[in-house]
Amino acid sequence: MSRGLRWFALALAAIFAARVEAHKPSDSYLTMNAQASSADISGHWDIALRDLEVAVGLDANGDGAITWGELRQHASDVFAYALQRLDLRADGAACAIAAGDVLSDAHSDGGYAVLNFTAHCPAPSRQLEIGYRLLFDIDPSHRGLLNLSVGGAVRSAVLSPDNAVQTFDLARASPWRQFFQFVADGVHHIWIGYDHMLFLISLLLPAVLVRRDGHWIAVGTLRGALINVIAVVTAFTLAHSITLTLAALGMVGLPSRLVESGIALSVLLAALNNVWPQVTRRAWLLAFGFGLVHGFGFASVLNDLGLPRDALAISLAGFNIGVELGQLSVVLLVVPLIFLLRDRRFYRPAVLVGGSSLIAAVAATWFVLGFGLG
Amino acid sequence: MSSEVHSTSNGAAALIAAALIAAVPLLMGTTALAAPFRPASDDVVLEHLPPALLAVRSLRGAVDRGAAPVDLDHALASARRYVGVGRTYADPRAFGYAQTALGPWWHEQARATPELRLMRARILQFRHQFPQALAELKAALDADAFQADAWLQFASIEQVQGNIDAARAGCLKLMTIADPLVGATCAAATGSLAGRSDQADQLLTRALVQPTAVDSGVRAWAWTTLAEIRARRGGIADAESAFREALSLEPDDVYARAAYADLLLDAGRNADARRVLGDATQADALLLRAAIAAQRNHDGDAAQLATNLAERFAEARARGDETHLREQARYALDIARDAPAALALAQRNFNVQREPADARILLEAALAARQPEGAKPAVDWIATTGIDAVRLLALAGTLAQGRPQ
Repeated sequence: MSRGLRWFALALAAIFAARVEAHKPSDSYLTMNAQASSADISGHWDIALRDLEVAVGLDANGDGAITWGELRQHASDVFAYALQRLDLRADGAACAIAAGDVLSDAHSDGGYAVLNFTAHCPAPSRQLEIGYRLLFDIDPSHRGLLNLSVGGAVRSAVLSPDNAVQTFDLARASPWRQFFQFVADGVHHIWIGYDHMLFLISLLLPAVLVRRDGHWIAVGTLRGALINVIAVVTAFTLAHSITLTLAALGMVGLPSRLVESGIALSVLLAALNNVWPQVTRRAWLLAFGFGLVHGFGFASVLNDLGLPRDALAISLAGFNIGVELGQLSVVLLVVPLIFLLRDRRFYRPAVLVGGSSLIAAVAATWFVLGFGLG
Repeated sequence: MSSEVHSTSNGAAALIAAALIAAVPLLMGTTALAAPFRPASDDVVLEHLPPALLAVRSLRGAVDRGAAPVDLDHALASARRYVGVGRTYADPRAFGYAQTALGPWWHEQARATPELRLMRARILQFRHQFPQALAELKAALDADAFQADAWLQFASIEQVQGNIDAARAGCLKLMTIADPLVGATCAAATGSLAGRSDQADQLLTRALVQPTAVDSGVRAWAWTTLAEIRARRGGIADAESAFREALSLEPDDVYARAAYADLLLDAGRNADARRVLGDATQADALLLRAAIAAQRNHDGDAAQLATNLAERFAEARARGDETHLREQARYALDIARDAPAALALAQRNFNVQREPADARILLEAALAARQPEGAKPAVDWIATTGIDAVRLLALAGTLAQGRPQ
C-alpha cells in the first residue's frame, strides 16, 4: 500500500469508533395470513423506501425526497423486484404470488412501501416453506421480520442470509394455546403487580361496612356486602378493559412514567379514602375513574409480552380474561375473610384505617419514586 | 343527612375530576394506530432520503446490484468508501454495502491480505462482533506489524471492551509508525482511562497545535477525544470549546454530537442539547438524547420522541439486535423510569462493552434500583483501571455508602 493510500485509510479508521451509535439497520416486515383449509395466502410486505431507492431507484427527479407519485410510478418495478425474491411452497409445490395494491406506511425509522399480495398454492397445505432473498445481495445485514398468522396463531421468524428458508407446520397451529398463554400472563401480572392488588384491596376493605351518620357500621348480610363488591369489581373491570383495549390497539397512548405515577396516585387516593372517607356510597365511581389508568398499565405489560398484530383479539381477550381471573381470585380470598372479621372491634381501626394507611404509605413512596428518580 | 349526601357527591365529583385530569395527557398523547395508507396526492413526500443514502447513491455502481467485483483493489476501494459513509452517519446499511463490495473476499481465509482483514475487522467491529474483529486484526498484524490503522483499530476495540492496558499497548505501537496526532490521540484516550487525564489533556492539546498532514476527520476525532477527556474531569467550558472545534470540522459526526449533547444534558442545558442534536434524529444515539432533553425540558414533542424511541427498540428486539443495550438501558432509566429493567440491560451491556458511559449507566441503574451489588463489575472496573472520571468516582462513592453490610 502506498503511503498516501495508507493515510487515506487511516483517516477513515479515525474510528476509535466502536462507537456504534447506529441507525436502525435495514429490516423488512413480511406479514402473511394462511388458513389450514385454504390454498390462498394473503400478505403485505413493508419494505423501507431507502432500501428500494438503492435496489430499484425511486427518486426519479433526484431531489432526495421520495413522493407517493414516485412510488406509484415504480410500483410494478418494485413488485417485480420484491416478489422475485420471495418463494412460497405448499407441501413442496410452488405458489404463484400475485401483486396487489401498493400503499405506504411509516415505521419508527422512516417511510415504507407496503406491497399487498396474494399467493395461490396448488392445494391447501400442511407445510408452508418460505424462502426469502430480499436485499441480501446488496446488504447482508438486512433482515426479514416474518409474522405468519395461521388461524389467529402467530409465528414469527427472523430471516437472514444464513437462515433464509423457514418451514412452518400449518396443521399444528393452535390459537387456543396462544390464548391460554395470554390468560396465564394476565393472572400472573395481577399476582405479581402489587399496585393493582393493593388498589383492589383498598376498595374492598370498606365493602363489608356501610357509612351512617359519619360512622362505619358492619353490613348486615352477605348479600349487602356482595352488592358492594360486585359494583366495585365490575366498574374497575369495565374501566380498565376500555383503556387496555384502546391502548393495545394503539388508539390512545400515555407515557409509562405518567401511567406508573397515575397508578400510584390511584392507590394512594383509594387508601386515603378509607382513612378520611370522601366517597362512601359510590365507591364504584372511584373504581371506574382510576380503573381507566390501570388499564394503561395492563396495556404496557401486554405490549412487553409482544402483542401479535394479527391475533390481537385473541391475545387481548386472553390477557384481559387472565387479569379478571387474577382479580377474582383476590376477591375470593379477601372478601370472605373481611366479611367474617367485619364486626370485630379491631376491624375498623386496625384493618380498615391501619391497613389503608400502610397501603397509602407504600403508594406515596411509589409516587415519589416515580417522579423523583433519575 | 342531606348535607352528608351533598358532601359525598362533592367528594365523588372531586375524584372524578382527578381521574379526568389524569386522563388529559392521555388524550393529548393520542397516537393513531399506524396502518398502511394511500396518500391523498402524488406530491405527498413519504421519505426524505438521509444524507448517508445520498452519499451512497453517488457511489452506486455495479457492486450495489450484486455484480461480482473484478479485483480485490477495486473491491477494497469501494468498501472503504462505504465504510467512510457508514462511520460518519453511523449507518449500518453502508456497512452492509461494504460487505457486499468485498464480494467473495468476505469469506477468503487462506489468501486474505492484511488490507482485506482490516476492512473486514472494521465491519465486524461496527456490528459489535469484537472477538471476530480482533482475530482479523491479529492475523493482519502477524503478517505485517507496521500497519498503523490496524493498531489503531486494535486499540479501539480493546478500549471499548474495557481492556485499557491492551489498548495502551496498541497505542504505543501506533505512536512509532503513525502521524503524531493520531498517536497522541490514541495515547491520550487510553491514558485518560487509566487515570492520567491531566497528562492526556496536555499531550493532546500540544499535538493539536502542531502542523499535521492528516485530514479533518482525524482532527475532529482528536478534538472529540480531548473534549471527552475534559468532560470526564468535569471541565465543562473547556470540553465544550473542544466539542465545538470537532463539530466545526465534521458537523455531521454522530458520535461527537451525541457526546456533546451528553455534556450539555449533564449541565442541565436541555435546550442547548436539543439545538446541538437538531432534527437529525435518524441515529438512535441522537434520538435518545433528544428524547431525554425534551422530557427534562417539558417540550411538546417529548412523548412523541419517547414513543418513537420505544418503537425502535421494539423493532431492534424483533430482529434480535443486541447492539443497542447501552441506549436501551438509558432509555429505561431516564425516560421509562424502570430502574430494574435498566439495571438488567446495563448489566448485559457491560458484559460486551466497557467504556465510561457503560460503567456510568450501570452505576446509575444500580443506584436507582437500590441494588448496589448489581454494579459490582463497574465498581471493580473503575478500581482496576484507575480511571479519574469525576462523575464515575462520585457515583461509585455514593453506591459504596449505600451498600448494606
